[in-house]
Amino acid sequence: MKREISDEILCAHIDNELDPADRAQLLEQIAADPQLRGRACELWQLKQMVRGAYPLPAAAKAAAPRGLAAPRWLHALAATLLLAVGVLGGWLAHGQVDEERLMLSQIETIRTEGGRVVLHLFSDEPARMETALKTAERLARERDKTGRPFRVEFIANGPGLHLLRAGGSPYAARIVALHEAYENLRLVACQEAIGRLRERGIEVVLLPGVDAAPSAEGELAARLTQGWRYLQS
Amino acid sequence: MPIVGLLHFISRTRQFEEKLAEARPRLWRLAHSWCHNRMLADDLVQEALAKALDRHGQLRDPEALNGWLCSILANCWHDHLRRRRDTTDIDELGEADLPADGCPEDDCLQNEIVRRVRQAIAGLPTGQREVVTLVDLEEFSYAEVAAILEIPIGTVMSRLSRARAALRDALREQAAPQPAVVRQLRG
Repeated sequence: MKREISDEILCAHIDNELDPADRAQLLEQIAADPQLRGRACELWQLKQMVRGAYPLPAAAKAAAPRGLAAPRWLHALAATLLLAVGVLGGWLAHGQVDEERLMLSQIETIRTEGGRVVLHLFSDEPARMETALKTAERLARERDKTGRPFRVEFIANGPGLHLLRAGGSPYAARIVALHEAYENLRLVACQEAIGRLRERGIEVVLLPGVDAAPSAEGELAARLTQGWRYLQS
Repeated sequence: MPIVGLLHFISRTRQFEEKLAEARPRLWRLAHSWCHNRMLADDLVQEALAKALDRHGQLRDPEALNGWLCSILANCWHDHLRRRRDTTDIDELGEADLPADGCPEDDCLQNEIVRRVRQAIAGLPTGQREVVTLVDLEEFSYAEVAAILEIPIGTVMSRLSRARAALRDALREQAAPQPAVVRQLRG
C-alpha cells in the first residue's frame, strides 16, 4: 500500500511524536524512498536551524568576546538544506528496532561519500550519550569503498561536554577503551564549553585521548564545508 | 502562623523565586522569538514572572513549572497584541505589524543565516510562530503545546506543518535569488 505521506506526519516523526508502530512503518517507507527521505531531512534541518537561530541569552553572554556566537555550523546546515540534499540524521536517537535499518542506510551514504562523518553531541541526557557512544563505535568499525576505516569525529559541546570529562563522565572507561581501540575515531571537546565551566569555578579535566578544539562550532563548520556527513545524537 | 510554618513558607517562596530566576533566560528567548524586540521581550518576561509569583499557589505539580510559565507568558503576549490592535484574531497577525528590532549591538543579527531564519520566523502568522518555537526551542510535546496555547492538538499539528513549509519556502527563496532572475530572463 503506497500513499502520500503528509508533512504533518513527517513533522510528527522528527518531533518524536509518533507511536512506535507508526514510526516503524514510516521508517520503513523512509528507508525505501529517497524523495521521502529528502523531505524528512529537510524538515529536520529546519528544526535545527530554528534552534540555532535563538541561542539562550546566558550562553550568548558567556561568549561575548567574539560576538554573540551564532552557531557557524548553521551556515553549513543551511547550505545543505538549500541544496535539498537528503541527509538522514538526528532521529537515530529515537529509533528502536528500525534504528538498525536507518543506520545501515546512513552508513551506506557515508561510504559512498568517502567515509567521513562528524557526530555531534549537545546533551547530557543519558539516553543521548549512550546512543552517541554506540553510534560512534558503530561508525568507527565501518570501512569505505577502498577498505579504509571511516574517519569519525565525535564533537561534544554545551552539556554534552560532560561525557568527555574525567571525574564526571558516567562512561569514562568506555570512552578510554574506544579511543584505544579505534585510531580513526577522534574525540573532540569544545574549548569554549570548557572555558564557560571554568568561569563558574568548575575545574575541567578531559579524559585521556580527548582533544580540545577552540570551538565546537568552528570545528563542525570546517568539517561540514569539507563535505563530512553530519549526525546529531 | 507559628514560626516554623512561617520559615517553611519563606523558604518555599525563596525556592520558587530561584526557580523563576533559572527559567528567565528560556522565557526571554521564547518571548524574543515571538516578538523579535528585545525590550518588549524584557517586559513580557517581567510581567509573566510577576504573575507567576502572584499565582504561585495555583501550580499543583512543580514538574509542570516550565509549561505553566510558558502559558502565562503566552497570555501576556496575547494581551499585549490585543492592546496593540483592536482585534481578537491575534493568530493571524503578521510580524509586519510589530516594531522592528533595530538593535545595532546585536551581533547575532550580523550572522546572515541567523538573521534569515529569524526573519522567516517573524514572517509567520503569530499562531504558527508560537507553535514552531514552543516545539523547536522549548521541546514541548504537541500535547503540552496544545495545553499552553489552549488549542486542539490537531491545530498544533496543522500550524506546525504549515509553519515549517513556509520557513522552508522562505529560506529557499532568500538563499536562491538567482533562479528568479533566470526565470525573468527566460520569460
